[in-house]
Amino acid sequence: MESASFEQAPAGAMAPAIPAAVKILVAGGFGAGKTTLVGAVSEIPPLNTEEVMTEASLGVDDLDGVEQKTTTTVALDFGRITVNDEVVLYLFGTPGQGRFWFMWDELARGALGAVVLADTRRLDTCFPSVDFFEERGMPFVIAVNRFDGDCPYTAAEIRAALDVGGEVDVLMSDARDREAGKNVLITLVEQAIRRNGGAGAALD
Amino acid sequence: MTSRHAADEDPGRLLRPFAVQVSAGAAGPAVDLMTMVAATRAPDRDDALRPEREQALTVCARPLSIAELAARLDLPVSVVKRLAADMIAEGDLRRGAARHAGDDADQGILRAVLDGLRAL
Ligand SMILES: Nc1nc2c(ncn2[C@@H]2O[C@H](COP(=O)(O)OP(=O)(O)OP(=O)(O)O)[C@@H](O)[C@H]2O)c(=O)[nH]1
Ligand SMILES: [Mg+2]
Repeated sequence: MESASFEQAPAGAMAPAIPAAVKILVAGGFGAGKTTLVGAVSEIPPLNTEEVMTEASLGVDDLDGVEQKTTTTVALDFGRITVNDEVVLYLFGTPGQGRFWFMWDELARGALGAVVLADTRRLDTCFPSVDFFEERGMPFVIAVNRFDGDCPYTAAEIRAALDVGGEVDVLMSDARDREAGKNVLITLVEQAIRRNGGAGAALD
Repeated sequence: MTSRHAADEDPGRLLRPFAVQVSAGAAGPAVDLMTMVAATRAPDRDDALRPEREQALTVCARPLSIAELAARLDLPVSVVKRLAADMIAEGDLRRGAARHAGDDADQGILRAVLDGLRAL
């Protein structure tokens, strides 16, 4: 570890500014290619960490109706893109399983937007993600992960099937391809800029 | 309250007894996944007894998010949030400024992100 990289301020000098962190979520159904997309655009190999969450289960299978508290480990994987000296972008793959939804609110808070990966073999698996971001009025784009170029639908057909508004971009993409991933992110940020004009609701 | 020993309970995979010394409550301002932190000093000999703090000081030589710190320390986010809050309170870490909804600066950040992505 080179100690020269330590950004300690000399006595009396201003400490170097800490960059702002912004976050984009990558959502979609189980196995849609979320981690693959994060890895394709990240400047570092995707990192992962675990959050222990307490979940109050509804006790549906308890005859005595006692509310049970269970702890669940949620795995988060994420990548990083250093935008410039002042801004760092983190990309979070959201946990795919429905049972982890209770933590999406924390993950979604302050995100500038989301990419919903649609797997055309199981298009319905991205419906919950679409609903989630629509309800929150968060900017999002739908990236159709073609899995080997094999997409039986056009973007227009997918837009119709998902029933999303005109402000939501639908792109054909490839989760493994860096350029395609960059293009998806650029499209999302352009939309966020359009929608952010004044309201500022997308940013925490 | 029934007195159950901790050892009697199913520890679960992530409830291994962390030796990390953190305060029980929320010390100072709350930190979240995206809070950026940076070390205010390099680790020294006295930190060797608290390896996770020593390591945090080393990896935070450059500013990074709580999420990234957790990944690099290989500790759960919930533990690292408290560790970082303590280290901020003790002056060993400093945190980046929080942004607020509707800040004019947000549009500037979005533009910076756009320019940065286009330049990749
Ligand atoms: N052929 C092909 N395989 C892909 C593509 N995208 C992802 N995969 C593969 O599909 C599998 C699932 O991809 P992941 O990126 O792990 O999907 P995920 O959405 O993160 O999955 P979960 O986190 O488990 O929900 C992996 O084996 C990938 O290598 C693609 O565009 N084409
Ligand atoms: Mg994944």
